Amino acid sequence: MSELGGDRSPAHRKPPTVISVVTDHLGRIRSSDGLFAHYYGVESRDVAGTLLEEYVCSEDRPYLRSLLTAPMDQRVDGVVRFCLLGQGFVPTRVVIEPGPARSTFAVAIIGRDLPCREHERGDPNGLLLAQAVLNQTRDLILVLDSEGQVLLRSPSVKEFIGRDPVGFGFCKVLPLEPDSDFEIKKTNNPLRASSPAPGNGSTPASGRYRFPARNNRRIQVVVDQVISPDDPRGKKNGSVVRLDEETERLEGESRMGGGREDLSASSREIQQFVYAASHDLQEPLRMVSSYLQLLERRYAGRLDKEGLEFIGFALDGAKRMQELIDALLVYSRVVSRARPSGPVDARMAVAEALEHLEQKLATTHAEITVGSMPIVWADRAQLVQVFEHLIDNALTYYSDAVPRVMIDAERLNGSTRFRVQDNGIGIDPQFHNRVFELFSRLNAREKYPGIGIGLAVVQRIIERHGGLCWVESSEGSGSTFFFTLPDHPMVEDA
Amino acid sequence: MNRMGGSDYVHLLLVEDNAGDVRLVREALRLGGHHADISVARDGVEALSFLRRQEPHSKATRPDLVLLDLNLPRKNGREVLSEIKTDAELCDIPVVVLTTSSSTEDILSSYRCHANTYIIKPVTLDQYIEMLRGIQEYWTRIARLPSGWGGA
Repeated sequence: MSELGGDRSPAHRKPPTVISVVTDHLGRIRSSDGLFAHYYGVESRDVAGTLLEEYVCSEDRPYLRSLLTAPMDQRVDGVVRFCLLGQGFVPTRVVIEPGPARSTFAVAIIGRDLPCREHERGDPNGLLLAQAVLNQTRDLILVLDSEGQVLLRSPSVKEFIGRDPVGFGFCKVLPLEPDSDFEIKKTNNPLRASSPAPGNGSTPASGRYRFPARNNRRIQVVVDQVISPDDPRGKKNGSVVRLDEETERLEGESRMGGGREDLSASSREIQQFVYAASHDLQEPLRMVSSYLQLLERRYAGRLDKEGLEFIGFALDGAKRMQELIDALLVYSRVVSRARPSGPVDARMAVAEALEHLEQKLATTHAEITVGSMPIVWADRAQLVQVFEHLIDNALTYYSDAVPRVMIDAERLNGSTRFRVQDNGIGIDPQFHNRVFELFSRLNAREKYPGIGIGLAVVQRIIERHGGLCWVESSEGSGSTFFFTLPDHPMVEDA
Repeated sequence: MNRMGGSDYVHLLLVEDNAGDVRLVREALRLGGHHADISVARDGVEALSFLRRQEPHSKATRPDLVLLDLNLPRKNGREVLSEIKTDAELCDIPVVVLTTSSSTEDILSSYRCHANTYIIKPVTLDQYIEMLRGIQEYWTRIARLPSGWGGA
C-alpha cells in the first residue's frame, strides 16, 4: 500500500510527514523524534517506555502487534489508525524494519495530510495552546468536539478514568449515571445560564452523577458550550467539561487531589461553625470554672471533704472542656490560618520544632538524631507543627528506656517521605488508624497526658499538602510515623 | 500615689453585660487586695451616656480608665471604642479592651480604632486576679494617666 488519504489531485499533494520511532519487539518505544511527541500529544520525555500501540485505535492494536512480530529480517508495512492530537483517529501508514540494535525495530510512521507543525500553521484552532493551558491544572477538564469525542484533556483526567480518553466518545469512556439523590445545583455563571447544556447522548449535561466504574463515586459535571475547535467555520458546538469529585468526607479530599484545598461551601460552613462554637462556648465555661474556684476559695472552710471533692471533679471537667475547645480551635486553624506553600528546608523545620520542645527534651533527656533532610514545598509553620507534634508524641509515650527519636527523609519518585521513629511504648496495630482521629486516645489520661489533638492536626496538615501519613508499630517496640509531601515542580531534586 | 484630686481610688468604668463577669472583676480586685471605684455600664449605649453625662448619668464622674467588652447589647464594644476615640471630650481616656475574642481581626481593628490595650479574658480565677492586678499596676503606678493618676 503506497497511498493514503484516497485519491487527491496532484495539486493537493504535499510531501508526507515521516515520523521515526525505535521500539523493542513488544512495541515498547525506546526513542522517538520530536515529531512523534508533537503529533500524538505527549511530552517528548514521556514517550520512551510507552507502548506504540497506546497511540493507536484499540481495534488496530492486534494488527500492529502482528506487524511487529513478523520475521525480523523482513520489512513490513501496513495502515493503522493513530490518534492524532486534536483530530481523533487518522489512518496512517507504518513501515517497520529491523532496527539499529538487536531486537529493535525502526518504525517509520508516514503521515500524509497531517496538519502542519505549529510554526507552519500557527495553531489556528488553538488546540496546542489549549493543551498547554490544560497541562497546568490539576482539575479534571475535558474538551469535546461536536460529536462528544474527547479532543483534549487535562493530565489528571487520564489518572481519574484509568485510561486516556482522547479520541473516544465522552459518554463511552466515562459512563455516568444521573444521581437522583441530588438536585442539580444552579450555577450563577451568566454564560452558563444562557446556554443550557445539551445532554443529547453524545455530550453530557451539567448535573450530578455517579461513576459506577469507580465505586459509584459521585461527580458533579459542569458543561460549558463553546464553538467546537474541530469546526473551522465555528457553526458547531463543542463543549468544555469539568468534573468535580463529590467528597464523602469533608476532610481528606486532598488525599486524591494532590493538595487541593478543602473549600467546598459546606466545609467552609463547618469551619465557621467550629470556630464560632468553640469561641462562644468559652464564655459560659469561663463562668463555670471561675465561680467554682471562687466557691472553693471562699467556702473551703465550711465544706466537708466530700464537698471539696465534688468541686474538684467539676473543676477538672471544666478544665478538660477548656482543653477540648482550645484543641478544636487549633484544629480549625489548620485551614483558617494556612499560608501559601513555598520551599522549606526540612532541617530548619525540625530544628525549630526541637526549639519549641526544649523543656520537654531537657526533662526526658531524650536523644534526637536527625538524618538527611531535603528542601520541600510546604507551609513552613505547618511543617514545623507536624514535626513538633510527632516528636512531642515520641517524648510523651516513652517506656522505661531513655527516649530515642530518629528523624530522616527519603526521596521517592514524585514525593518525599519523612520518618519519625521512637523507642517508646508502641501502638497495637488494631489502633493504627484510630490514633489519627480527633480526640482519640489510647492511654489513660492519668498515665499519659494529652487530649488526642496532635496526630489529628498532623493528618489534617499533611492531607492539606496532598500527602499521606501513617504509622508502623507494634505494642512495646516503638513506633515509626511516616508522612509524605508531594514534590512541587519548582523544587529541584537535591 | 500621685493624684491631683478627687477620689483616692482609681475610677474604672467597666462596660460589661455579663453580671458574672462584673462580679468577677469586683471579686478578683478584692482578692488581689486592690481598691478601685467601679462604675458599670451594661451595654454600649449606657456606656456612652455615662461618659457624656447624659440622663440618668448627669452626676457621673469621669472615669480614669475604661474596661470595655466587645460583645455588648444595643451598641457593641467596637462602636463604643470608635465613638470614644473620635470624641474630642473623651478620646484621652485610656480604653482597655477586655474580651474573650482571640481573633486576629478583633485585635487588629481594636488597635486601629486606638484602643490602648487589648486583653483576652483569662480562663482561671488566678489568672483573672493576676490580670486585674497587672492592669492596676500598670495604669496606676507605671503609666501616667491624663487624669493625674500614675507613677514617677
